[in-house]
Amino acid sequence: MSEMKSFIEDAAGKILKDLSTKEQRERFEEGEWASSLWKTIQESGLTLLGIEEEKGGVGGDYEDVFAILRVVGKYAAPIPLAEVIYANQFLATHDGEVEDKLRVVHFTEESSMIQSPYKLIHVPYGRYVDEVVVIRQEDQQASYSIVDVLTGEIEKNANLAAEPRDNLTFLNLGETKKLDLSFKEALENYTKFLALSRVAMMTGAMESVLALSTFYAKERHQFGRPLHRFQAIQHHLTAMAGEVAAAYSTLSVASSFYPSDLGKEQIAMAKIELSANANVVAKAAHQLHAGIGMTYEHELHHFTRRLWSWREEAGNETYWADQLASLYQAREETIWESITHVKGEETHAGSTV
Amino acid sequence: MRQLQLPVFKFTEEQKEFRKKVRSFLQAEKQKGTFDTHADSWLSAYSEEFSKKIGAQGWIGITFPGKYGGQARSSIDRYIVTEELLAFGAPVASHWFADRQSGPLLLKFGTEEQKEFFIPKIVKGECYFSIGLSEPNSGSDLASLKTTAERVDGGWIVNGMKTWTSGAHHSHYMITLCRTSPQDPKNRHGGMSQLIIDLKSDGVTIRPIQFLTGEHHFNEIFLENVFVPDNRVVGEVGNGWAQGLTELAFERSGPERILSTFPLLEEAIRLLKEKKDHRGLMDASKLVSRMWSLRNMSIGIAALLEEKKDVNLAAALVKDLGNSFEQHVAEVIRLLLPAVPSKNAEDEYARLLAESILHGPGFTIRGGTTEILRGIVGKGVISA
Repeated sequence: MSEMKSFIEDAAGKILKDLSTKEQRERFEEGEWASSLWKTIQESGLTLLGIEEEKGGVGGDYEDVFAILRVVGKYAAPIPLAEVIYANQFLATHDGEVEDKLRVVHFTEESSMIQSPYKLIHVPYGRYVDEVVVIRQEDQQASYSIVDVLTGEIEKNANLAAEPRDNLTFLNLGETKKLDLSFKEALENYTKFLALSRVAMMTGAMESVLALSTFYAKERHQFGRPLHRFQAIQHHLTAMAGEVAAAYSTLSVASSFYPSDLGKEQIAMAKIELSANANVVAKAAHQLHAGIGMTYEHELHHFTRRLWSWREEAGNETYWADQLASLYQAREETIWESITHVKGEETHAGSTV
Repeated sequence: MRQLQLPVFKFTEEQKEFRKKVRSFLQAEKQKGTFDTHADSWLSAYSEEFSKKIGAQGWIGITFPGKYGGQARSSIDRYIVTEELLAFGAPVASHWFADRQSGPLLLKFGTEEQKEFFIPKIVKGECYFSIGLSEPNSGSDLASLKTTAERVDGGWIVNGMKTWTSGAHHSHYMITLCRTSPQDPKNRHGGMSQLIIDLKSDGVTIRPIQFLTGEHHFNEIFLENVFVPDNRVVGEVGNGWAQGLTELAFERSGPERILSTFPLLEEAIRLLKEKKDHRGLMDASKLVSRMWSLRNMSIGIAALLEEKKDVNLAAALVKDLGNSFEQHVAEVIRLLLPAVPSKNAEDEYARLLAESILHGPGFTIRGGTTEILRGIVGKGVISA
């Protein structure tokens, strides 16, 4: 963990608290890009986090990145920060340096990519980004091109939380550069990053759902008592608090191992956990809020709809359980040996992180 | 909410080496046939022989000072030993409470004479304790207990009854919470004291309460004019409630709240791999993920306890989540690998499944029921 972590966590928290308000999120859902919020985030350097200064970044490590993304989830900020950080890191790594832009990466193996017109499905914030780094497979090797979004057509689409997941069509992808790793590796790296990003963002969203619920349980009176005095309500609060604590711990452990060898198994378990428990939190909170929580007016849905969206993205429980099942089948060691990173006779090779 | 943010603790290489040593010892003992793996072994699997072997390794009271025969090692080392024993489903019930609660209690509040008398025997795995808390009319509402100790010359005369006392038929002593002053409605937690009762004393009658399997783990204990000398009072007279609470966080969030059915999960995954059952392994991997997450929390709490931090809320949460998980394991596994579960089955899987199902109801009751825990957490979350 870098010393920056709590400092930038606080700084990001202040920006998002001021600028990612309920009103801002509502305007965003009506079709207005959160330009001043994004500008402030860019100016604060957060879009270049985790990139060395000599490559155009601001330094910091992955624990910093995931700590910030937790805060992004906590304020349900309508910005593609995880995706932009990854795209910037990708270009810094492969081009040697990077200039900050609103860009995302997009991986595609689909046949629609073999020839023009090229169709990119579910591009995060596609309508608002400047460019897309398109990564595809060409002759057993991966290549990437940087495409200006203005040169393409946009078909609007969104996830459950009204976050844009647009389909973009281009006639020309422009200059193509070879990648020095396989498409599979490149895609796996991105999926791991995005999965842990969603874990971080869901952790933050869960924290806010719990905070809204405790506030409402104190505020709202029924039968002459505040809600929190009812045992049934205490059980809802406990269910949420349990998953918030579990999520926080899961995020902290998994991001402390990222991107080591052990990282993939930890990310798989982390994403399974958060995806499986997103609705434990959302369901309890909606039940606790009852009618008011179902309205557009109350902001609970800003967080619960994100939980329902993010649990599917970057692999849901089924996707990651499939990966883990293959891993278990392929290796000799017992579950206890892998969980403790200690083998009966000799120490697990991957345990020195 | 800060109380819900547990730290990351990573075991050092030295601690990993220690774990390996414990594991190798247990593997060898299991191969020799010293013990069979059981689910929920900390409640139900007694073996004095095994307890003495563990004691000879220095692994009972491992945190206790060297002066009394302990190893003065960290509570993280104790955590490692406990985890390995439970993962193996080893018979640890005999010495369990002495190691977990009574030893630490005596070291914290006991007299020098008590420490010198009890601790070396506990450490050797020869002296077993039971915990005398619940009574027939006070279960979750423990502060309503009625057992009384009356002052007499040189000590106390105890009258009353204790129930659900695990392992009292194997134990030598019971730390008994009783009333040394009359009940005071204004100070419900006052006037209670902890007395060490020698279970061989006159006036002590131990009767089995058969568990739903027909097995004998629990007891009811009748105390009729039992004399307890002054030197067997623990700590201060009247301070029993507060003294008893201090060790609660260790008890609540330890590995025994997560791993009671782990032997079933491990065996099931071994079988699913043998059958190359990919779908089954997928479902099992979700259980492993949950266990990993709960274990991270439990270790985080252990690290905070080592720093003497207040972890009551988080410990209650981990117990609630952990106990639900322990029950959930059997419910998922039974569908992945259908079998006729039986306590007497020769097949290890069918036996572990039976033990995990039949012991399940106890997980969410012992050491603080789910309802009590959720009350603690619910109130804690509101006042935070």
